[in-house]
Amino acid sequence: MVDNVNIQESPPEVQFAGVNRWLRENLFSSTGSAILTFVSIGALIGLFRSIIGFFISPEREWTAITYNLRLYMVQAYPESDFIRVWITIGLVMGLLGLTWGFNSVNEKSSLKSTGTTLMKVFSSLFLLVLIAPTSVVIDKVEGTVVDVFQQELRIYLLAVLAGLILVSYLIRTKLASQEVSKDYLNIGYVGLLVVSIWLIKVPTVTFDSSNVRIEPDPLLPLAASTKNPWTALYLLLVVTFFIGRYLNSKNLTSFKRILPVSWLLTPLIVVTWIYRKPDFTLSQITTVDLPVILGFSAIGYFVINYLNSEKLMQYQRYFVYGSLIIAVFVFSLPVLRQLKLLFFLLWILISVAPTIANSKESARSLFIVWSVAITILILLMRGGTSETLIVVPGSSIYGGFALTWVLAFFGIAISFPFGVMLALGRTSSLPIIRIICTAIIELVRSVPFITWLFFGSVMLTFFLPAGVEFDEVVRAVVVTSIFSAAYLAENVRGGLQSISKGQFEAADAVGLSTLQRISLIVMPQALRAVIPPIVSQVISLFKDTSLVAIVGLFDLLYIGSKVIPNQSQGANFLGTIQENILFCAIFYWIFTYSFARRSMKIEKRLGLGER
Amino acid sequence: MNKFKLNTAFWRDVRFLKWAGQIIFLIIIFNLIRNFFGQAITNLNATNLPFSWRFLGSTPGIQVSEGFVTYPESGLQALQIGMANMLRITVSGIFFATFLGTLMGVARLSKNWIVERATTGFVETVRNIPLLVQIFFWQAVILSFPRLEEVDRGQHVVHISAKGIAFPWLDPGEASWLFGVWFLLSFSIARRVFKLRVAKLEREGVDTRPVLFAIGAFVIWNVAGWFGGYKAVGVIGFIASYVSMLFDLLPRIGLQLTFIIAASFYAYRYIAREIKRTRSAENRGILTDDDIFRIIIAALLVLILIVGLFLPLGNSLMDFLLGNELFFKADWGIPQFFDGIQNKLNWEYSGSPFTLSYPEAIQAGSSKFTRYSPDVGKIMSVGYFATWVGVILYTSVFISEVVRSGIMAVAKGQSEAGLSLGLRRRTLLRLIVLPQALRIMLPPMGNQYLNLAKNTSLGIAVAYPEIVAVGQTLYNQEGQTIAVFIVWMAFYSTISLTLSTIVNYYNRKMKIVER
Amino acid sequence: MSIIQSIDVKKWYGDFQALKGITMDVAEGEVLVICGPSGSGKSTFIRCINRLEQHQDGQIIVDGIELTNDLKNIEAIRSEVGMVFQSFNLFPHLTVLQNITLAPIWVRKKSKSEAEEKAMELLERVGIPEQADKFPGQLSGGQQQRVAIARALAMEPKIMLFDEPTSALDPEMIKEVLDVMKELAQSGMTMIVVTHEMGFAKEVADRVMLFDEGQLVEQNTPEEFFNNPESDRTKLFLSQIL
Repeated sequence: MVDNVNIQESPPEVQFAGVNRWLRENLFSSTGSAILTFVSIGALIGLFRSIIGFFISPEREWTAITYNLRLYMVQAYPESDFIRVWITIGLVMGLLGLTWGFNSVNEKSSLKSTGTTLMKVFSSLFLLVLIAPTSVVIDKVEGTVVDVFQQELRIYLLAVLAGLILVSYLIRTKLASQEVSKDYLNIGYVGLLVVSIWLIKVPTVTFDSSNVRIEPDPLLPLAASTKNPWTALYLLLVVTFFIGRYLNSKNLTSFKRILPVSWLLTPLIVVTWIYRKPDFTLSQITTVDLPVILGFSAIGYFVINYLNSEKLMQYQRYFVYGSLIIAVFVFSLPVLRQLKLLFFLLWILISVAPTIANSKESARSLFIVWSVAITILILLMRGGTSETLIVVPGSSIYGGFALTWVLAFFGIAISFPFGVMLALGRTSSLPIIRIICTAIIELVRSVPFITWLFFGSVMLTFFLPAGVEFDEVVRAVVVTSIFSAAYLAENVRGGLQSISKGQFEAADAVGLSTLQRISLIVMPQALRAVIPPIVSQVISLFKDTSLVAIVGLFDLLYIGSKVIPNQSQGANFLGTIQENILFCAIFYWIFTYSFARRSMKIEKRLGLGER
Repeated sequence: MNKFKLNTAFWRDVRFLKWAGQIIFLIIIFNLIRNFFGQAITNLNATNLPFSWRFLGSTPGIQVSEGFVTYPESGLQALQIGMANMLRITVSGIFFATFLGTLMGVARLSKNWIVERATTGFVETVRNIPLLVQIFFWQAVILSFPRLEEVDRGQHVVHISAKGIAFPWLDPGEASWLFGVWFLLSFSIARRVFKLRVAKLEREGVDTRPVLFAIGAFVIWNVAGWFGGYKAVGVIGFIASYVSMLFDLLPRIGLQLTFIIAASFYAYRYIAREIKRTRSAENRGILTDDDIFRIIIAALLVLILIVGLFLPLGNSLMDFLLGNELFFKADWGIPQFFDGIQNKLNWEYSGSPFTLSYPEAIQAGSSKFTRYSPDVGKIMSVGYFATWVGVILYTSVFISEVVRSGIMAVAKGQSEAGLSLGLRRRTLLRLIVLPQALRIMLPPMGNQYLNLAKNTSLGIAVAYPEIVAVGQTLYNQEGQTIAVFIVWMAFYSTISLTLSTIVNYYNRKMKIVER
Repeated sequence: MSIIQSIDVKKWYGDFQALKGITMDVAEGEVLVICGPSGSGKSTFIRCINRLEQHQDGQIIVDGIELTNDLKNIEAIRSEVGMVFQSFNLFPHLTVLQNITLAPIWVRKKSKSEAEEKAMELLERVGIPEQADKFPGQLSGGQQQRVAIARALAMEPKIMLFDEPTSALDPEMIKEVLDVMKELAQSGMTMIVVTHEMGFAKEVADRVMLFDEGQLVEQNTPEEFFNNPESDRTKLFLSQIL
């Protein structure tokens, strides 16, 4: 083995083979291919012409969407509490920025590739403008032709796009060797989106003082009411990105542990504090919660720093059993729920602290994680157990895209541990457990998702004791996670089977217990192997959440297919089904497509790390 | 030297721990289930709608918008209509999705840049939009066509309106079944001819044009069949009538006994063979869960056969479960089955087996509305169209991915080896690449078919009466939600079991022999 | 004083009998080489010693503890017996250092710093301290096997089992592994080595055994074994392999 080979021949530059050759090889390699090329070009032009024509035809009532964006996003959430929604998004944004900045690898990207991308985008737009139809036929009055695209506008647009193509070509050739950070580039792209909210103006439905729609619709910036929050959020993202980057340069290891913990806790915060408006007084927090937090932080400090000293180490198992007994005892007492939980957490801390906190540095970071976690948990429980003050007309506070998001996120999050357990059960060597798990998985998978949704919405109440009733959304989440757990289990099983028998034997041979073997050796490898199928499962679950429209939950699709096309008060949008369905399709598409692309990139990176 | 003890404390014995854990688990699960169902029974009794299967026998007051019957006589029949409708979409959907998916998969591997890009764009679009949105989209598309008006009345070749799509169809005559069997036979005849010609080619080394001959045989055979040749199939009907008579003569109890003994014997042999196979040295005596499952299912089937059908108790049990409208009569409907064959395949039938009929728009009753005549042509309803197109496009996109990766997964070395032997590209594809790619493609293809079958349930959103929609209507009427859910589960499980059995069969058949 | 005792050990796979009554013992500090044709049960036997396989009849006593179904005994024996596999079986998702420190931290409950110190010491001993932060996939076969040896040694075992440690290696890498094993043998470790490396057996072994068809055919000192084999089976085996 020769290590550190520095002399490496760089591969020869790939020369641009010339337009002629490219055309010959890729479009006109044979007579058949040439015919195919012409036919498909003709078909594509026709298709795009009619699609563009459809979109810009004056028959389309696109204001049905711009007017109802709020309905699409949060449905009936009261306007006075919107600040809570923005706080939610801000929280996620801030965390996103921190994580992004903290984990930034400072990848460089050459301006050449950026230029190429821009050139591709602008050329496609150029082509689209070129082939866009000048006039369209209107269905309502037979045979009427309406001009939709003036020649001057087309020429103006073409000129602008041609200029942009030229600029990107210049970037590509003149500045090819320059490099920019990918992070800055992405921040720039997001910034462009935010700027577009300010600049792009669309017809907007507005009403005068006597509640009559103003005709024609005035031109206002896209989603005029949200441009300020989005700009603020964007700035927040940028600021937190740099903070994260700064923290990374300071090499704070404790922060590395805090980040995942906060990601885990975010959905809880969202549900207990943003979707609810907890009813509590400040005195409750100062007199009850604060002392509890401080007390347990102090106990945690003691446990972490002194329990693994030589003297106490030998009694460790007694501490573990003792704290368990205390926890169980406290659990049976009529005390605050917060205390019951904390004593169990303390038991876990005592069990793991000596192993994890074996250096000064790790002890400190463990203590930080402990204090932060219990503070947030206590406050969350205070918020979660108190009454909510938000009143929504109708049954549920969740609606629109917020509902879609909640279903998809909690569906996956709850199903994950169950799926892993089912997979372990199915591959277990214990026959009874294996058969039961197999039966559960196969039964759940054999019927379509929609029947499970019916089960949740109609039948679940039969199986619960009288008086126990769940919200409709909670029932949907329950069946979604049952369903997704069964599919997840099959994916994880694939990963488990890909692990060689030798790994099990080696784990046995070094003396790991069954639990340690599964958690330290088997699961990390299995989960890494199944990231691609799990990601595609997450995507398909996101798409499947649209099925709740059938059981009558107000999700994005239900609003688009049933609510808005039947809207006649205020603005009249009766029968705008095509526009709304198309909007839903595009909306879902943007999310799933970008998620799929993103995950493909991450997969590639993971694959590289493995070698 | 040694102070080991032989007796281990039982609470430290691995075997004990293993089984104790499992039994505790079993008890917990059992209790959970018992609690759930106990609760359900209590709750249902409280609602005055106790669980029962009676609704399967009684006439529900519902109308089904399409199907072989529109006013079902019993709950069971309503569900059967739903099942038939679901199978209608599934079977034709599988056929078209496979065709379209294969086409797109090949197009995505095309060397032609624009074809490859266009197909990929289409695939990326369709697969990232939820199926339900697409189904709504297709519904909106067809609803945007003009409504059926008075001016449209009369005969058409193809007619599209907001009511659906009407197109010409072959109406079966009385001899259609005879010709159907004849037609199926033609495939085996063509195959036989092909093999004979190939054998000759290999023997004599001259080009015998096997494909041309096979197609010729196929055409000649069917043309002969169309003009009366089908009568030969009537022999089957003739024999069936005698078999039916024979069964009528036999005492029924004897028939039942024979069948049950035969079934038990086969089940026993199956299990015994299965156990023996897995006990061989290289498998180290470990039964996989699939094996255990198969054994349990085989045993259960036998048990159901014996308990459910043999004893008088069994008959009343089935009566209770399924109502009086049972397919399982005491004689299992075997004489009726053969009577049916005799009825369909009677050699006295004559005339053209199928006649082409064109759709017609007519006045609906005495109202001012217009509708398509249900008797001529074929009408694809809005619900059927939306579900059908949606499901086919959605599945075909995934199938194209399966096809593409299947072909790409055949190692490059295989093609190179073929090329180095001097095979031409087409021959290489047919003899080397495709046979291997098919093997890789089969299991994921089966999965896609299963997904398609399950996705047809979205027809409920566009009012297509498949099993879920019919079931929902039924329980809204009768209140038997749990019973309907059990029917759904049984039906879909049967479908998935059948499909996976077929796929597994081919998979095993095609498996490359390995050490 | 024998540290491993095996009395009439038998094992079946289905109908196939893999071990037909093995009786032997190993003294403390002894280096024992087991050879034999493939399928002779030698691997099965040493895998029975730390219970990767269960024997169905007879007794195995390791350091005074009998291998039974007793959970505590199994744990005790596994932490006293180290094992090196033919196919290395390093954990691919952990670095070399993590591979070695895993068991000491989680099984022996050592502190991380202590375990890491010990691990670096062992890597020094097997000659690849510079590879500590790499992943197993980035190492050559010989280096991987040396890491595997270090991993087994990190548990401070009394006995080391080697299951054909060099069979999966290229010829030029075999030597580096054998050198580590020789050094280990000289340090007084009790070792049972299943191998076809007769050179190693001649040089290091205190005793050589031949297994055939699940039976112990012959055991002797290396000189006797190679120069004056007793049974015809041994002669045949040696003539094929040398």
